Amino acid sequence: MSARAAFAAVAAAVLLLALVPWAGSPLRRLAGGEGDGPDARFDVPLDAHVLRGAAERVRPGDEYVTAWPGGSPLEQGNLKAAGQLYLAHALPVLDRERPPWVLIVGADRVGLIRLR
Amino acid sequence: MSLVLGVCAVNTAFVAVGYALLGRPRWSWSWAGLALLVGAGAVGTALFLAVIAGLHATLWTAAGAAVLLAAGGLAAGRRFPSNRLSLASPPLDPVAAGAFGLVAGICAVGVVGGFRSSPWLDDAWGIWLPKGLALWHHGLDERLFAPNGEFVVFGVPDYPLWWSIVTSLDVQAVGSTDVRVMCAQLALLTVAFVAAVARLLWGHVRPAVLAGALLLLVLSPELWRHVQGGIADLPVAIYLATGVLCGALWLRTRATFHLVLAGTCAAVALQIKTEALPEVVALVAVGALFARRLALAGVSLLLALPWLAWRSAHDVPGRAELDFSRAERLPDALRATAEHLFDPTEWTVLAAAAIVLALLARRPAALLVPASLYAVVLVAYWIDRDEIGYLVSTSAYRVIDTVVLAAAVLVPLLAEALLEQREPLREDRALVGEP
Repeated sequence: MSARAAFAAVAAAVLLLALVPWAGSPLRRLAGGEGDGPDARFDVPLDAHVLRGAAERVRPGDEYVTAWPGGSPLEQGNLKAAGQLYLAHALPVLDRERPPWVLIVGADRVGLIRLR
Repeated sequence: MSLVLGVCAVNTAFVAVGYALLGRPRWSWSWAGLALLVGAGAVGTALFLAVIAGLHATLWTAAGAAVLLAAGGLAAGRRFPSNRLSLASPPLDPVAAGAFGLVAGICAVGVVGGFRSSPWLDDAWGIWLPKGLALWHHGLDERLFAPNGEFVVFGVPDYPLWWSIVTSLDVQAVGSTDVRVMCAQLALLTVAFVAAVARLLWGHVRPAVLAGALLLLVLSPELWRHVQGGIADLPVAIYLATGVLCGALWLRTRATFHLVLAGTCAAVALQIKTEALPEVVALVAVGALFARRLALAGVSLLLALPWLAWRSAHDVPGRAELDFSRAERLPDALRATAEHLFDPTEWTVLAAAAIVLALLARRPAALLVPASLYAVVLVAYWIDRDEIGYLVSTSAYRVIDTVVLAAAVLVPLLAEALLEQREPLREDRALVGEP
């Protein structure tokens, strides 16, 4: 067997093995397992579909605050990061009295509310 | 544009810039990995400097930077033509070729996995990518990047922005917020690193040794776990290790190409994470012990200045306090990092192999390279203000990436040195009739 043939044969064998639907296979894990969607893997339940919809409503340069009443630091942190990721064209502020938008989680659902 | 098309378009542009900078003698497919590393590094760095100067990190700015860099590279290539390093291509037997095929196959699957993975590390989608998106929409706006009490500021505001900028370009090319670009980009850089190591060492190390060393790397589960985590420590490690390899090759070849490349890689690493600054200083100091001219790679440190100046002008604090009184933190840091370094289920036996080979080849000084990087990691834990248990549990597994990859590029060189030392011994034995 020539060197080129050996190279191609082994590389092809690895690719074929990765296609075998064997859940525990390291090659399947290497290939990304079942595959992920385009959204962030939040540590807490946050609906990325709603966040993408909120992004369409907020204009570039608009200000917003995030609010998760009673939320843990992890929940607050995830909501803050979600805002910075999906509402990147807007500006997150600390002062709750100031912005027209609130990205808020209530009853375990995220939503965007217009204050003014 | 789809995820695959968008990320591939950006990286094709990186490769084109990389080829222009590498020079005409290296315009062949075998240099594509290094071209991607150089192109991504140069465009990302140029764009980082542009945002510090007030521009937004858009695809248009990136295109302008790419055109300027490519034109500069081509002009420099005409003015200072570099010679192709005329190393004889070593014979490749089917077994070594099969091992290279295994490396290539694993890398191909790893790239597929990158494109199919959303980063599991929350810092990736919670800090790094949002920063890049902000640089696209708002530029380096001090309201978002410097603590001010009025706006919500990004976490770790002291970190440089290369990784944020490069992944932001991917998102812009894709056309929608898709966090998988981080893993896809990291997979491409990782495979480019493997290809670059193979190309740079081709002719310096026998193929079987090179294939074996690369297999040790690509068979490391932790390498691909970090790819699928979108972890910024990995690109730092990739650039530092490439720089280390170029420095080691320069000691053999004394070729300007290798020295310039070592400095370039160090300069890019400086644009990715704050830790790279002391790591480059440590590597330059170690390099100067081997040959004083290697200290020239320290010129790269100048490229850390623009970001440091911006931070200083906007009162952006660093994370570490220079408190050297808490030495009791060191044993915990040492234990945690060593567990990850030497765990064969994480990084196979890369670190152990480097140590054993350096001792067998009577080149213990080579260990100063990974040891100096390891020392920086330990000092960082020593002087950090966070609780040490929390700190090591959340970062020890990834801050050692630089140490592991630096060891990984030394393994083939040390193995080759060992084999070269043994060859005369075998010949002597044959002369006196021993088997």
